[in-house]
Amino acid sequence: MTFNMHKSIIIVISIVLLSGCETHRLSALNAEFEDVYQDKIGKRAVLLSGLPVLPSESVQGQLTQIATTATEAADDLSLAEKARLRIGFRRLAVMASWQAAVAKEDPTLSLQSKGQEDCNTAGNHTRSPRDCLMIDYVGTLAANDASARRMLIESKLPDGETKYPEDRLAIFKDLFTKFKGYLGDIKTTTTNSKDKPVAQAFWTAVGKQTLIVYCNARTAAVYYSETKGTPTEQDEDYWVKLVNSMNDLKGELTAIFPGINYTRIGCQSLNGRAATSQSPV
Amino acid sequence: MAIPIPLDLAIMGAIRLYSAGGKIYEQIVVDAPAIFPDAQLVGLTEARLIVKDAFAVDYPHLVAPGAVYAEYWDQSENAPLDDAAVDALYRHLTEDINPPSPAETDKKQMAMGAITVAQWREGAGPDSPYKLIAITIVDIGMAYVGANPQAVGLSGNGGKLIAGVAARLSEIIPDDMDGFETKKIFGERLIAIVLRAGLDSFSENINEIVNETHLQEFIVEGLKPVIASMPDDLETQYKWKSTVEALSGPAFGAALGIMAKNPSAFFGRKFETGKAAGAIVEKVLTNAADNSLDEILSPSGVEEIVRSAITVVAENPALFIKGDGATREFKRDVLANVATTIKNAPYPFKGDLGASIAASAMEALKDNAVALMDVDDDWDEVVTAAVDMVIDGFKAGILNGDEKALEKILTREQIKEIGRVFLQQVATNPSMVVGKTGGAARTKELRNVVASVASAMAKDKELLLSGDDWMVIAGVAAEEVARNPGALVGLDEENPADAVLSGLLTTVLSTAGAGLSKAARQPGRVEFGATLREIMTMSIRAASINLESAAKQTTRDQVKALIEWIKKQNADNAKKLSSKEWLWLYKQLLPDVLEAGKFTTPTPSELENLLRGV
Repeated sequence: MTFNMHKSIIIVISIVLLSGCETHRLSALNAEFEDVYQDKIGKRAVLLSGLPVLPSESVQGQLTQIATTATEAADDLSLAEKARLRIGFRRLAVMASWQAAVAKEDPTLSLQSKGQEDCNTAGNHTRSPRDCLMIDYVGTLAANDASARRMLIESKLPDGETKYPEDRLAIFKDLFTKFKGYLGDIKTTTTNSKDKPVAQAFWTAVGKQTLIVYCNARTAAVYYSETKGTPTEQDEDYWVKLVNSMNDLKGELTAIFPGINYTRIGCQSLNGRAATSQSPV
Repeated sequence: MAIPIPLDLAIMGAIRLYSAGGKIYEQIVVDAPAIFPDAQLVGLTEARLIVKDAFAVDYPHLVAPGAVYAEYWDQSENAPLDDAAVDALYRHLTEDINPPSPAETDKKQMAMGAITVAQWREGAGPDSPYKLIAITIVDIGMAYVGANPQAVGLSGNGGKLIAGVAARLSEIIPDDMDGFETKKIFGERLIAIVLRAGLDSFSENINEIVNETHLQEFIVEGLKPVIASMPDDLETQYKWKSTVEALSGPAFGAALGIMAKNPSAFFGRKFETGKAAGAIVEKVLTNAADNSLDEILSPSGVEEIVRSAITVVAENPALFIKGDGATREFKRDVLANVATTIKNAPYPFKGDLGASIAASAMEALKDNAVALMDVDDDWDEVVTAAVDMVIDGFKAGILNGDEKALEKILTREQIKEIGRVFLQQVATNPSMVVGKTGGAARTKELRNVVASVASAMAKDKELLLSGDDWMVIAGVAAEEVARNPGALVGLDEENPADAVLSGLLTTVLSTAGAGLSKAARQPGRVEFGATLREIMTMSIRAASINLESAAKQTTRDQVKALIEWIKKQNADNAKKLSSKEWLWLYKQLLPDVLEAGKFTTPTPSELENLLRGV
């Protein structure tokens, strides 16, 4: 018999709330999150005019609710007796919060802190390696998303212009620096965590996110080079220097995640699901 | 939305589920694969930017002065020369240049949506051989709670059942048993069947509280041997499995239903009644599987037998539990023996009908019979003997000539009921079955009274009596036989034709009903239906007061003469005399006929006097 959560999710959640079975609740909430996430992915609008892509309001609401419910469920559990279950809820809460991408007072980093606190106290990197590691990475990825959305806004060319206004130089450089910084954080976290007994697919997923952040850095560098007033080759900030630093980074990342294609073609293939889409995925 | 339940009860229920078997479920859920959502990517879409970035960062050696694509490149700008250069470089980039590919699996995963990640690296992490069963148990439990909110979550009887199964899972299906993997899968199915049946039973009796330990013992005792006895070879397994799966629900459901209705009578005794009940159910199932009983009994037939047996366990557990302490033995063979009887019974008793007879026999013999049994007697054997006698009685009386003869007169329900009527007398006078006739031979009175009545039924070719009429007659016959051992019927097995009762009933029936045909209406002829029934029962009652005379053929000839005389009076005075007068005359005159052994025709004035008293 298969325990098919997707069929009767509402009924099951109601039952769970009546019965008080937290395990069942985690399973139900997890399934709900996956359903909503797929819905969000599926409904991501193809960007035509450089508008930032956020989940629709209703999806945002659902994800926020999942994050809230999961957090409350975690808070209600004893860490001493129900560490794994509690951390499972924490993981779900930060994932849902991250994906909700709330513009104001985004709680993702606070929720991450709660999760990391639980993981460190309960020694759960070895008892729930995936959950604790996902919690560890989520802050960086959420920050990437915020920067990506900002970059998308700034990458809209003013009408009639072929180059970005000079005031965007600092913005794109800041974005590039930020993305590079996120990559450095991923590199550090990964170096510290490689020995954890987590499923191999986790590292594939982290490799994928690493490539995404790397590609964002590449994109920021390209936009920087397309801005009026881009310094000439005599200047330290010249585009070529950015290029060199990207190649250096490539080398470092390859050492951590071998087999990933850190080239523009690699970035294009990542975006290849909607090859003609202008949207961030 | 369901009725709100107190938080403490909900928590208790959840905790109970956890502590029993929920830990496995928790592990499964926590470790279940979860998606790793993707971060946001800002992709480049403009070909010029794509090309600019690719050749500046990834392939500068291809656009350096003198390199293959140098003609398209603005060295000072580090960018494509113009739109035509962009087109050319884009084409080369996507068609000619083959960048190193990531590993195939990684490539696939990256190209698709979010990656799903398990908790543990392969080989790491805890595992449980019972995880699928745990999911099944919780699934069923949750569905039950949802459908029965009044069951107060999981702290009611249903929760105890679920928790009980979960708690003893490793005992019901020990992981060191032979063929564990296959039996585990079957065990999961069986547990699901049993849980559903049990929860259904409990949902009808939610106000009673059952004892958790006894319940668990019942489940383990009932399930474990069944699962363990699953055959190894596929061919045998095939039939065995379908039988057990078909009958487990009804068997356990029936048992749990009785247990739920009588918790105080059942649980809490000194004896391990839960275990005894489990042993009985297990024997039903394994016997059913070994003897293909499902080909004979329907699930409701099995239900009926189990229900009766468990009721007996509840009310008289000593019948099933012998000894004490280490020497305790559960007498579980009664249903196996009964099943054999049913299997070997003639039509229509080979099947559910036989099961009904057996159920009635068990109920009849659970109380008074016990006191009359010898020390060496087995109650199983007494029950089986009772069932045998009823079936054999019908066979001797009516079925020998035509196996469908009984069903021409009675519906199955009526046959069942008549069996019960006979056995009810046994309940009051168990010596009819338990008693011995010199030596160790058991009395055959029950068989003989059934045979006598059945043989009379066989004579009712015109169906002048209905099934309901025969039931009344059977009841009176059984009652009088019980009161007068060895009189109306013999104590030893006899030919029905030789019994006083049989002779009497045949005489009365054939005489009273002579000349009447099925459904025909004749003026003055009232000797059918309720009237005929009264004539028959009066005859039995009167005969039991004058047994010596009634045994004589000559007396019966006089009774025949009496009946013929009354018939003639009614026929000749159809407008004045009715069935009421008929019966009155018979009632007044029959005792004298039996007393004297002679019928003297009343004079007209005597007749007139007699009729004044109607």
